[in-house]
Amino acid sequence: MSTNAIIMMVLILTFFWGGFLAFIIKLQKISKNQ
Amino acid sequence: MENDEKRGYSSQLALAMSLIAGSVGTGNIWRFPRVAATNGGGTFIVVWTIMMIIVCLPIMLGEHVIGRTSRHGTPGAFRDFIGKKYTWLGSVVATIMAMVAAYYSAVVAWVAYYLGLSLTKGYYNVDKVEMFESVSNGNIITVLLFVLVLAISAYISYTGVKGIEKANKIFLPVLLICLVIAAIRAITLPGASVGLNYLFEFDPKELLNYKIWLEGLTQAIWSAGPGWGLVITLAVFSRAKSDVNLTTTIQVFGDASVSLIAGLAVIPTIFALAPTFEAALEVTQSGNNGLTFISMTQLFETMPGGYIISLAFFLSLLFAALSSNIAHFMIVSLPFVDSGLAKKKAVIRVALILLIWGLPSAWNATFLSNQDWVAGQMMLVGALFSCYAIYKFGAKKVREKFLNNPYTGFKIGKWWEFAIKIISPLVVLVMLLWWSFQSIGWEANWWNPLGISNLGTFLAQGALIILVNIIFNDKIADSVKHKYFDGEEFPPIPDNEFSD
Repeated sequence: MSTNAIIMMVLILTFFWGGFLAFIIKLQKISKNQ
Repeated sequence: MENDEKRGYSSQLALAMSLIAGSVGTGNIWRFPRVAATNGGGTFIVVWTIMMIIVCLPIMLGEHVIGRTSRHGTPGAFRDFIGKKYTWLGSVVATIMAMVAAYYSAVVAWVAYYLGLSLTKGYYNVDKVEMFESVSNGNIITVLLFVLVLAISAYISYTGVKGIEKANKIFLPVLLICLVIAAIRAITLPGASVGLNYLFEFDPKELLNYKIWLEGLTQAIWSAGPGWGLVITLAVFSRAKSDVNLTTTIQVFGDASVSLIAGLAVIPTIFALAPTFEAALEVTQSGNNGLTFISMTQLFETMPGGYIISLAFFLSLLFAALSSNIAHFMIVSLPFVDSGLAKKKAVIRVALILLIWGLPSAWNATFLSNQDWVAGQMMLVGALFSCYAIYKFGAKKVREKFLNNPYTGFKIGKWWEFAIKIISPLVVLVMLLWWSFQSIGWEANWWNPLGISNLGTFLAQGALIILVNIIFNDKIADSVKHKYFDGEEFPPIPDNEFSD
């Protein structure tokens, strides 16, 4: 697999999956405080 | 059950998961991978990401506010948000979704059929093209499965928010686990790296290719769900203090995340198992049905462990499609409940309408293609309606009062106002025109209203839907009585917001 493709794959997966999980954690924290 | 529904979703996470389940459908699993692979791989993914953030997210945030503040299905939502004379915008959206729910139930039936064939190895050692032709045309089992799919969607829709929550607790994890299993198997196949390169390699020069931008936008809109009435309808049952910004953003990110896993499951499999690189390219260009029901089944038959992977693939596809179908059903049935009809009667009425509307699609794949084409275009019109509603109400007011409410976890900046007023409608309009012009070259008589996928049939059916809804505008507007969450609106729309 090319370096270009690896970097792109890691970046895009981190962005969406990382964002998705981070937002869920944030939502759960807010829910607890309400 | 009625009391349960009045309390809405059991948690904010349940709302977010319901939104994701509604968004994630077959488009994530059979369309995203092949469109990404054939339109520049990594470059396409960058463009698609931008479109998800600057076009889909702003519209869906706006739609969440429309549903939350009005507490009505789409006709009542538009009526209460921007005035009685605009009720038809919402009823057009509901009509489009009836069209979608009707033919999509047939698609779910195909997937269920293929899950059965995977289980019994029914498509092994047979001509895959002939097999698909026989499943999708004049097949009584497909019709029976179509009826079963409608019945399941109707039942879960009848059980309301709580039923949907329960269903999604099964559908989403199974969908994700199956896709992850298929993806792990795919990327560990010898030769999978060729497919991964093809899917992710980024070429900045390709950013100048306008076609990649249009394909990226198309995929983003047809997958995430702006303009479908999905967010408006599901937001009706959201709790007063639930976070509009966070739940909608989670929906968009969740939808995209599932698409990426599907890409990892499908593309490396194709490139690892196709006899040549050219053959793999041919598979990716074979269209949604060709890829899923013809090419993938061929690969499953020959690949080591293909039996298990085919079950995982079709099960994930089935659950993705079914959860979307339930949401479609809800979008269509809620306006009937709003009109004061008992929920049971409303669900039965919608089921009968969809049965009659969907039977031709279940029996004939060409009819289904026609409905798919018209509905796809009309969804773009629906997205424009949402943009207009926000513009009419006042984007600044929406952002300051409803999006950035005291309970939100993060604030939306002024960029949203610019996006919803200028970027989103402009880009959606360009996409609508591009597909319309493209369609002129697809069939000999592009003007023929009885064509399959041409401009004439889109304009004729679209105009008919709009005309009928405009004629019955006042009648529909006056029929909207029932309201969810009486006394728990947040924040209520002031009376003086109505234009008429």
